Amino acid sequence: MTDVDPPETHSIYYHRFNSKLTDGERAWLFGVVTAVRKSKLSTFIDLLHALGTTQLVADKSKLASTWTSVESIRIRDRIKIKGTIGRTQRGALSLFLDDCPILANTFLNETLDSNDRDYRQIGGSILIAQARNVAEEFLRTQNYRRVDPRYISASWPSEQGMTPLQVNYPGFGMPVFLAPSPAEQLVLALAATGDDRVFCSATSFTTSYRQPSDGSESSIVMAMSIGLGIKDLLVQCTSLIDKICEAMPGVTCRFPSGSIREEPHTMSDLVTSHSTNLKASAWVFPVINGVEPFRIVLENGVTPIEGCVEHHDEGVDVATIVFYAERVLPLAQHTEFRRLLRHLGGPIVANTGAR
Amino acid sequence: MPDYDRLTTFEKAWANCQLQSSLRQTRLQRFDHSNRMLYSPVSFEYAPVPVSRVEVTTNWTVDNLLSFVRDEFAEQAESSDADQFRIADVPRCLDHSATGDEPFDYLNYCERSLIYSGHIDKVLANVECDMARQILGLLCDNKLGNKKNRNNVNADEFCARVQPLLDKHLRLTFCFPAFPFKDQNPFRTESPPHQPDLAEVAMLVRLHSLSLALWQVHPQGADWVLFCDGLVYADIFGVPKQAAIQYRERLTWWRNHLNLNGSISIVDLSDLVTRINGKPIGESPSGVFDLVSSDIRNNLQSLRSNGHPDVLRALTTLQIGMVRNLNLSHYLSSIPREELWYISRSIERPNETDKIKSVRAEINKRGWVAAIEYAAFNLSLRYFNAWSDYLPCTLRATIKPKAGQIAVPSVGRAFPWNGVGVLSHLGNEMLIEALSLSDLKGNHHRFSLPGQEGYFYYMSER
Repeated sequence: MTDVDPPETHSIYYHRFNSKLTDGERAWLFGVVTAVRKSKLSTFIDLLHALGTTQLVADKSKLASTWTSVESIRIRDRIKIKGTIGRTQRGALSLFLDDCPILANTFLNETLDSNDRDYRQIGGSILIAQARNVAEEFLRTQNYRRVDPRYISASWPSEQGMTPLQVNYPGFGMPVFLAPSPAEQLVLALAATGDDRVFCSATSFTTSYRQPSDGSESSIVMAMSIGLGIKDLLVQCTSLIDKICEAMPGVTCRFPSGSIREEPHTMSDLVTSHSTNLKASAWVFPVINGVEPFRIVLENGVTPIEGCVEHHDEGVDVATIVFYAERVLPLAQHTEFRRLLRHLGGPIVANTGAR
Repeated sequence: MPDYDRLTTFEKAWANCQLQSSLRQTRLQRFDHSNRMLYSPVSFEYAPVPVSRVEVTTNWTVDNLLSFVRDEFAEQAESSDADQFRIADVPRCLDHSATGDEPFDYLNYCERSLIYSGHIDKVLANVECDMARQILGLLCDNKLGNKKNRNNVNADEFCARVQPLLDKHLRLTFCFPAFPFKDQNPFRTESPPHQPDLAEVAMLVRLHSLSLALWQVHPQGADWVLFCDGLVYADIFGVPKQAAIQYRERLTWWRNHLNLNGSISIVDLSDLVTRINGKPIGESPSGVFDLVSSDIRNNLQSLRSNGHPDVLRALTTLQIGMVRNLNLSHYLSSIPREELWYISRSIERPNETDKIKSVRAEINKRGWVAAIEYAAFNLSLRYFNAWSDYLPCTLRATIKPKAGQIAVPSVGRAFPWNGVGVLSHLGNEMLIEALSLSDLKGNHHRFSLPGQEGYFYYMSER
């Protein structure tokens, strides 16, 4: 765990958006070094960051104990610094370093552990990407073919169920909808490719509640297969969770197979309005006889995988696995999501900011 | 007809609620087969509320009147003497056109400074790591919520009330009656009754900001349900009912325009009353709410006639408050502004002309009628436990801070509808306050929205 900034130290983005930079304020900043100028008593560094370029001033007398590290900074180094806003003798607005800059090779740990809001979000996105990568790799080894889905549609069938996110952007000329899931595209891919297994890595958009760790936008990996029964499917899901736990940085929990609860018996009442929303799968495959949803709930309430098996006429089973990348973040004990563990006790789910 | 697509989930459920039924929020688990995903939508259940009417006793009326007036008008009783002798000047204003961007600027400012500035982290730094207490911490914060909640809301009681809702993963729904119409006291406002201004819009923005803050600690979020009470009070205060309807619609338009549908619902208090009554108010034969109101009204009138000292004192306080809320604008054409100011403040002056005396008598009479009607209506709501029985699973909020209810953020010395919106910039801060017109000192710029009656906001020349 790194030291926690005193409350008055904010990222330079905070200062940019909340007030103009004022002399004497403390701030932190990260970026790429584009120039280094050295004098007898100071080193001047130009740092390129998301909002522009800022001059940094490292004072030898103040950073004497770490001066060697400061002198080793080169152009194209990526650094994070903390300092006080002030002016040079020539009046140039600069950030005067309080501490030795942190170099890029220690960024990841700092980002994953940081209490700072800007870093927390970046840390979360790194973990989500990593979890997705592992899931994608796993599905490839299980002979799933990857397809890329589309997200935007100008119309959405007005059925009961998850409500897609509506985008009112004047440039489109009409409201458009962001897809809650790529399920129908995968069904069509199963039919069109002749493959028995397809998957996609996607973003799911909805205004409907799912889980506390989900947002209106969720990173999912969805896989669809023909011929897998629910038992085979659960074995596959268990292996997937094991792979993810092995690969995630900072994951402190391990979940042996015995700790996974299956809840198919509680899911029977969840299937709604079969007759109205069969659409693509009914069109592609024979008539549906039933749908068995399932959900894998880990012992601390984390629900990383959900899905279903559709039973069709003539013994065809179409199975779907949905892996929610954000939901494994509490397992990584990531600061942003640690608090969410407290809210995951029950089986009922919801998400942030949506109905 | 309202745009159905722009109605909130609560508003749709409210529109479908049957007579003498309660509205209870639940959360379902559903599997969406089209999307192959589980989700958990909010749903509303309707349950019949058994309504029985027992004759309202005099003792019940006295006890509840006294506590009602103490709760609702305590601040007025404390503050009325201090400003009684300040004659309201007409503010000197230069007129301009508003851009219409001001509400969006304020929304951005509030989201940036209250939600994404680290302020919430500071507020919660000293609060126990318990969701209910963190929610209360935000509600009590001076900038986000209302600091008076610290004294008025008992933390243990609040947690006991809220925890079951959190356990069921329900959204927190705060209900409160407010936003009747623009006050027609010419010393407070100068816009027509159907026109909300920047003060009302600022209140919507502050409620939305508080919802955003609550989302930071409560993943299911929070809703504010505004029960517009203009229709039920229009006759009492001498404002056309149509104006109250237009005011509510205009407020809803602003809500939609600012895209606050995710956190604010707007419905009408008269619908709640109709539901309790079992039929439209005033229809013959009378419904239960009408009958109870009538009992209370009769009790109050006889208590007043009999000179019950406590009741007289309470009703007098109420009558003074009512006079200030009456539509007085048309008297300006018959008596001087200064004289109307004294009458509205219930200050008698020597050597009044007969005309002024007759206006004073008329206004006082209207004030007494309004006081009895206002009390009868509100005591009837109490009699039926309207909020807890008909809206279980909701939390009672209030615009007037009082014990046991959650005060909403304050946007100035006046309630938004009792004043005008005054915009000011202090450095990087953007401040919108609701102030009585009579509180505007010095020269002001006055801004109106093109094509709309009345004024949208004021700005001091300084």
